Parts: sequence; C-alpha cells; structure tokens
Amino acid sequence: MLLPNHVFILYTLLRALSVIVANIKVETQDFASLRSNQTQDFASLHQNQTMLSLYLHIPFCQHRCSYCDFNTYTSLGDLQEVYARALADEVAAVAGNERRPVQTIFFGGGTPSLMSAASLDHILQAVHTHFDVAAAAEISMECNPGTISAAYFAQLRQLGINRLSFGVQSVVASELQLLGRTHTHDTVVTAVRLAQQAGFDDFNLDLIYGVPGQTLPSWETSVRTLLDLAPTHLSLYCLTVEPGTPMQSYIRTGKITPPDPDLAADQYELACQLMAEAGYDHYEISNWCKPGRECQHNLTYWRNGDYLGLGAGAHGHADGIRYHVVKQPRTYIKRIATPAATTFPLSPAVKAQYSLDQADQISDTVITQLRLLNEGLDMTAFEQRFGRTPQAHFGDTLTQLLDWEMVAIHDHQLRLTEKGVFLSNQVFHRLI
Amino acid sequence: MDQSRIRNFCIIAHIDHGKSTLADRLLQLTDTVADREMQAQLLDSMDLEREKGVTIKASAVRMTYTAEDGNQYVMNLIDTPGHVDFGYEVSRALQACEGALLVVDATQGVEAQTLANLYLAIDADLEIIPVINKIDLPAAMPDDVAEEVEAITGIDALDCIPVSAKTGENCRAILEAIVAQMSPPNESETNPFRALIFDSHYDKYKGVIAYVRVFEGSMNARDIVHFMSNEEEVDPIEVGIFEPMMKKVKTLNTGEVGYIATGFKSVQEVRVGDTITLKKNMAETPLSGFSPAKPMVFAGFFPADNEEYNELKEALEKLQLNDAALTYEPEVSNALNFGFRVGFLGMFHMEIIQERLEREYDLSIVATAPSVRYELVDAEGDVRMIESPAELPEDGSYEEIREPWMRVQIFTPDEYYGVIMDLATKRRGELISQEYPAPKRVILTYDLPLAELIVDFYDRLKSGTRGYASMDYDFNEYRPSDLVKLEVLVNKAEVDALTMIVHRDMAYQRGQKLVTALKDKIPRQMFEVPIQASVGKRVISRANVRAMRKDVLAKCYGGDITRKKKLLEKQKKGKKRMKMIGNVEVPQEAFMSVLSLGDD
Repeated sequence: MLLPNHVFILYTLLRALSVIVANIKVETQDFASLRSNQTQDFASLHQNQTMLSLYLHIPFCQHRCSYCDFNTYTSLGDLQEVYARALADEVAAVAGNERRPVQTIFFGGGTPSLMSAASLDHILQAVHTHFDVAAAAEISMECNPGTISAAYFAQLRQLGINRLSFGVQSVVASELQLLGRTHTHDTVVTAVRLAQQAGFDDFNLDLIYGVPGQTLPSWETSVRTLLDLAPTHLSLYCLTVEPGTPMQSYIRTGKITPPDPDLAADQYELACQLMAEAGYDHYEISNWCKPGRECQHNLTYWRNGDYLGLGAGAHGHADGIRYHVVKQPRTYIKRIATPAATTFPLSPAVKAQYSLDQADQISDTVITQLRLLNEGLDMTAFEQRFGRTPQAHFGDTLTQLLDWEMVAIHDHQLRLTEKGVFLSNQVFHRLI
Repeated sequence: MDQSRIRNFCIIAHIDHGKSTLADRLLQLTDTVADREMQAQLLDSMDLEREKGVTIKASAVRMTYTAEDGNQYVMNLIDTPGHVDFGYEVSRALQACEGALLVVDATQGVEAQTLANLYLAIDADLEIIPVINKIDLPAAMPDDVAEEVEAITGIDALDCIPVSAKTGENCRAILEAIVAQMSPPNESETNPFRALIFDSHYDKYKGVIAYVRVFEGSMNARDIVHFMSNEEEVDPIEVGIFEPMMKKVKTLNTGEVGYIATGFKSVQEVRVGDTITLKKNMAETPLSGFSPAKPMVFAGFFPADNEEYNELKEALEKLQLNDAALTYEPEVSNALNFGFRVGFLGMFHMEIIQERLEREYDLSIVATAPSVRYELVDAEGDVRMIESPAELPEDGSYEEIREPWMRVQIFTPDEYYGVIMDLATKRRGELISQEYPAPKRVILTYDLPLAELIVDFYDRLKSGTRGYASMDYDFNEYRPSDLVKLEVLVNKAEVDALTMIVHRDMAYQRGQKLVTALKDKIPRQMFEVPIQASVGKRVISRANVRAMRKDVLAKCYGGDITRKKKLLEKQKKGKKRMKMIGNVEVPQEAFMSVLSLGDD
C-alpha cells in the first residue's frame, strides 16, 4: 500500500512528466491510447472499489449572467485563496484514511478559470494525496472565454487539466447581451486557439437555444460557427427561465417575450441534423461529441454512478447517500475549519443528506440513465439490482410510453426514441 | 300576553341597505341584548352570511319595549332572507307578521329585491313603515328617496322615518311607529291551535327546531303536535321563545312567536309553510300558502380528489339537516367519476353550498355548469323530468321538451334600458311590461328561460349597469322549446360533464365558444387533441390542441439530481390533479368553462 508521502513524490514526478509531455506536444492519438492502457492497469488495481468522480465547485464570478441561478457570488473575490485551502481541507476530510480510486475530476462553477493556478494546484495536490487518481483521469475545467491567457492555459496543462469547457452560449452579439455575457465571439475564437496552442485537444463548447429573440437562422449561425472551431464536444442547452433570475423579471415585466416552445423544438431538431452531418454522436439529451470523446465525468452522473460533491453548494452521491454542502462560501469555510467527526462521503460542511431507499434508487436510475441515448437503461442490470424487470415494475405506464413511441427497447436496453428525447420530462415524471 | 300588546314585524331591505345593523340597534334599544354582549349583527350568525352581508336563514327575536304610552309591548322581529333564491321563505316569514319595516338606503334608493319583497308584503296585507337609513352618510339624499318611496308605495313621503342605524340616530322613532301604526294580532283564542312554521334549524341535542307563529288557540309544552302536511306527530322536547337565545316556556299563545323543539333528525320533516296543530284538538284546515321547497337549479358536484367521495356525501347529509331545499343524488361521470347531482333553489343557493363545502368541510369540489329541470313529453303524453343534460335522449325518442321560464323583474335607472334590453334579448327574454314608478327609474318585466338566467345573467346585469340594476325572479311556467343537446368530444370521447341543453338557434355560437374555451384550458398533450362540439352527431365546431413538442430539462448542474427530481415530482403531482378523459389530461377548471360563455 502506498503511503501519502510516497504519493506526493509520485505526483510531483507525474507533474514534471506532464510538463514535458505538454512541451513536446504529444500527438492526440498517442495521448489517448496512453490513457486507455493506463485505465486498464488502474482498474485491476482497484477491483473491488467503486470508481469515483469528483466535482469541485468554485463559487465565484466577475459578473452574474441574466439566466443564472447557480450558487455563485460576484463580490467574494477576496476569498478565493482561503476558499481553495478550505476545499483542499474538505478533500482530506472526506477521504479519511482510505485512498479511493478517482477516474474524473471536474472544476465547475461559478467561474473556475478565475482561480489562480496556485490555488488550483493546492486543491489538486490534496486530491492526489488523498485519492488515487488514475493516470488517464479526465480532469475538466469550466472556463469563461473572457478570463484567460496563453500563460494561464500553459499552467492548467502543467496541473494535469486535460479538458476544457467554454461557456460560449451564442455567437450573436444581441443574444449574448440579453444573456448577460460579457464576452464576444472573437474572444471565444482567441481562447480556443490559445487553448489548442497550449496543448488542449479535448474541449467542449456550450450553446444555449430557446433564447428570447433568437431565431432559427441565428441559431443555425451559432451552431455552424462553433462547428468550424472543431470542438471534441458540444453541449446545447435549452434556456430554462429560473425563478429569481433577471431573465424571469424581464419576462414578467414584459420587456421580452417568453421563449416559444415550438421554436425551441425546431431549433433542437435543426441542431440534431447539423451535428449529425458534422459527424458528432448525440449521446445524451443535450450533449454531442466526436466518437470516443464523451465527457467521462458527466457519464458518471448519467450512469447514476458515485461522485463526490466538494465545495460550497456542491451535490454528491456515493454509497447510497445523496447530500449537498452548505451554499454560502463564508459558512462553508467556517464549517470546514471546525473539526467534526464525519464518515465517507460526508464532510463537516455537508448541510443535508439522505439515504436512498429502493424507490429513490429506481427513479434516480431511470431519470439519469434514460438521458443517455445510446446506452439507455440497462434492463438486465435493473432486474439484477431491483429484483424485477422494468416491465413488471412500471406496468401499464411503460406499455403506454412504448405505445406512444416515446421509448423503445433494443437488446435489453430501454431508450428514449427520437420523439421522446425532447419530451423526456413526460417520460420521466411518469416513471418516477 | 294580551294580543293587543304584541307586534310581529319583519324588515324588508336590499342587501347592504343596513337591515342587520338596524336589527342590532333595536335589540339594544329594547335592552334585549346588553351592549357588551352585542356581537355585531347578531342575527346573521353564520360567518358566511356576515361576509356576504346577507341573511341566509330567517331568525326571530322577541323584544320587550316600554313605549311612551307607558305600556309594555312584546315585539317579535322576524328576519327574512335577503336573496332572490329564497322568495318562498320570505313569503312565509311575511305571513307570520302584521307589519314590515321597509328599509331603504338613503344613498341608493329602492332596488328590485326590495320592491319584490315589498309587493309580497303588500299582498300579505302588512302595514308598511318606510325607514330611510344611512342618513349619516355625506351622499345621503333622504328627501329624494322618500319621494321615490311615495311614488312606489303611495305612503306619504313625510311619513318616512329618516334614521342612521349605524349611529342610532332617530331609531327610537321606529319602535314608537311600530306601536302606533302596526296592528296587533287579532285571532281567535279559542279555536283549535294553528301555528305557521316560517323557519327551522337543526340542533344536535333537541333535533329540528321549528320556528312558529301562533295564529289561533294556544298550546301547552306537554301537548302532542301534529304536522298537517305530512301528518307527522311528535311529543315536543320543549317549546320556547327567542330572547334572543332559546328560552323554555310552558305555553305558546295566540299571536305569539316562538319555537317547538321536535326531536326530528332532519328538516325534511319540518317544512317551512306547514301548519302545526295539536293531536288532542286538531284544526280542520291548514293555514294557506304551503308548498314544499323545490330545487330549480342542478349541478354535478364531484370531489376534486376521487377519494373524498364519502366525505362529500357526509357533508351534503349534514348540510341537508338544516336545508330542506337542498337535494342530492349520486351521479357518475366518465371524466369526473363519482359525485352527486345536487339541486338548489337558485344560483346563489348553489354558491353558498359550494362555499360551505369548501370552507366548513375542507373539500375541494369540481362543479359542472348548472342546469335546470326539463320536462320531456313522450308520444303517449307522459311527462318525465330530467335534471342532467346528459340524460336527454337522442332526437326522436320524445315528442316535446319543455323548460322552466321565469318572470323576471329588473329595476334600474332608465339610462341602462338599452343595455338590459340587449342582454335580455340575447338570452331569449320576452318583454312583458315596463313601468316608470319614479322619475328616471324603470321596472322591466321579462319572461326568460331559467337556463339563460343561471349562466352569469346576474353578473352581466350588474356589470352592464355599473351595479345599479337589481333583479328579482319567480317561477312562471314550463314552455315547450326547440332545445338540442350540445355535446363535447375531447379526442373523440364524449365528455358527459360538459354536455349542455341549449336552444337550437344558439347551439352553433355556444358550441364554438365552448370549444375555444376548452382549447385554451386543456394543456398540450403528447399527441394532438381534437376538441369538437356536436349536435345530434353532427360536428358544429372544432379546434385542435396541438401536440406538445418540448418538455425537457437541460442540465444537471454539478450533479444536482435531487432538484431535477423535485421538478419532475411537482409535474407528476400537478398531473394527478388533472381529470382524465380517455388519455387526455384535463384541468379541473375546464369543466367550469361553460360558465364563462359570454354572449358577445
């Protein structure tokens, strides 16, 4: 068994190696094959342990977007360093004495790219010390295209971050303005180019449709423009008007007209077609990727796997427990600083937790796994785990959904049909 | 008590003209209720009545007043219900009196409701004392209103008593006028006992309490009473008077007002208008004017939650204990499942029952559009009644269909003449007469089908005349009509709860409006839903609710599946409240669509 100080030495060596790797610009193909070989060895080392994904929340932004209701703060920039130390401490507290295997790490926010490389380094060191991170682990970070530089990307590479996700949202200036985004499309192009130059070959771009004022042609422009940047992954999200957001108040006060659901459906259909033409695989309701470039971290969510939620307001699911951490960064920092006896997967900053009973587990399985369009719900696994087939469990409800051609069964996999994808809530709420 | 010292009177007033406040003031002036016990508007004891500012159940109070002539008088104030639906109860209460106070708001003038009851009072030979109330208000025009009263009643304007029930100003003059102007009862003290039941209520210890006015003879508390309409007999638990709480007495004598506690378990056995006599010395004939309460308006009441059927049944049973006019029968609907067809005296009665079910029994009700009782005549001339539009057989299986027509009186400032004519004509009204009882005031009398009256006629009358017109109505006759059954199909399935019986000339327009209303109220489903209105299998209107295309949750931010699941659970819960028509989820409000079908 490896001891923490050995691990630290190993980690330092690996980091040195990754810097060399980044500098000699290893070809994409080689890097990917390196990753898969190592995955195999790693798996055999942790045969009886559950692979974990780590979500690390960075609750800081320079500016709040008009549609955003996430746990993020624009006035707490001073806290970043203290927060990073608290996050590192939480990692240690959750891990306890066991070094569990980690296959993905995801920095989400907020705006993780506001964090200094030193802060990120501090957090990642804690992760490597207390968890066994696979050499080929996917380590993603969300970036605001407006807040980065070439030097910063180089630093991220050195830290082992190997996947970036840019919140592009639109390429149309008026839409960006309505969404409260401060960047322009030129900024995005620059950011993507700099990231590629720094060695990032795996990156995602986010777009939003169903935006008030957005048209079918303007949407097509956004999609086509992003396809020209050849990302490995694209997330297309339909705008949800959340309570309490500026967007909601624009609509309530009549400043803008609410999004038209039929137009959103047309936009979605158009996107599906354009993405298919460009060779992207539609593997999740809102996600497309180049073959083999699925976001491994998000796959954990959608396969209803185990992930730790670390940082203010983060949500986690592990060992049959769902929990979330206190939202306020200051409270979070205080809670982490106060020692408390907790057991995995909980930390001293967890606000609420509950054990999932079988009914919860079944509904969680359904609403996560059905989101994966290729895999769907594994009916054999379902039966093994819950003691009866989905047909027996859901009865007439499932029959009706099959009759309506909202879902279909192929090779013991229950999947959303093309028709069912954009009406998936109608499927889910019937099955929970 | 010597008959000559008794005064039995009631108060005739429009809603909000201050009847209850005045009654309170009289109770205080006669020391019937000590000031500190005064609960505002004592006579209106139900919360609902106090809120709506109307009296639903008649009550009676006995007051003792020492007049300026030095004599002591017993004054029985018999309260009357203040709404059109309770015309029969009003007439029975009036029959129990010798006089009436006509209370008119000094800022509003006479209104149709007042007028209708005033005519009933005049017909019953009551002595009328006009009282002009609310003279303390800046907008009061007591002289103008007094002149209007003179024009209508023929009573000299100078004889009107101007008062403020609110401040108490001049209210004692009312008591003196009652003594001086109203005649006392003058009936035979030796004839067999005859007492009129003018109201009742259910008491859980003493059973049904019959409110009575003794006409002839007298009774002892130990006498066995005999109800002349249904020949029920009972040894009363007690007899008494209202002071204003129930107070036991040994005898009830000629001319007095009091109660008989019967021990009966339901008001159905104690009918308003019936005559009580004594078993030992029975009267030969009952007092005139009895007719059993008859519901005129019917609606399906369904529990919003199907599992509350039994609770609804028990609540209706309890309400019926105190309400002889309320009827109900089980009804099954394909969309709303198990419920009841409930009969009411009118729309107001229906509203009150619905509110009481919701407020006092905590039930959520889906009520279908109200309908009336139709007469179907078959080839042999036999008449059959139907109370639910869905029961109407397809064309051909009956010779004739008849519907109830009402005689409607509308009292209004004459500037609204055109508005009212327009409304009444659109509702198939026939103008019978127009009278101008006072300058710029007109009384329009129409014959109008009840079915047209119960669909928001009153609301439209009020809004069209900025609240100035008032209305009263009475059953007139059944008339044959060219009526058809308008059916609604949602996704090709007939919805019995939405079936209407309408005049053939209106079927197209009503069908179109109903389809449009439903199209707006039924949410998009996973498939296209056609909504059709048809008459005799022929579709007369159609609209489609387009299939839903988008219902998707984009992202699970930071793996927050709990929140996503909560949203889905909320959606599921919302769906559970929907009613199913085949595969189509229909919100409960849709079943009330018929109520908002305008004429325009």
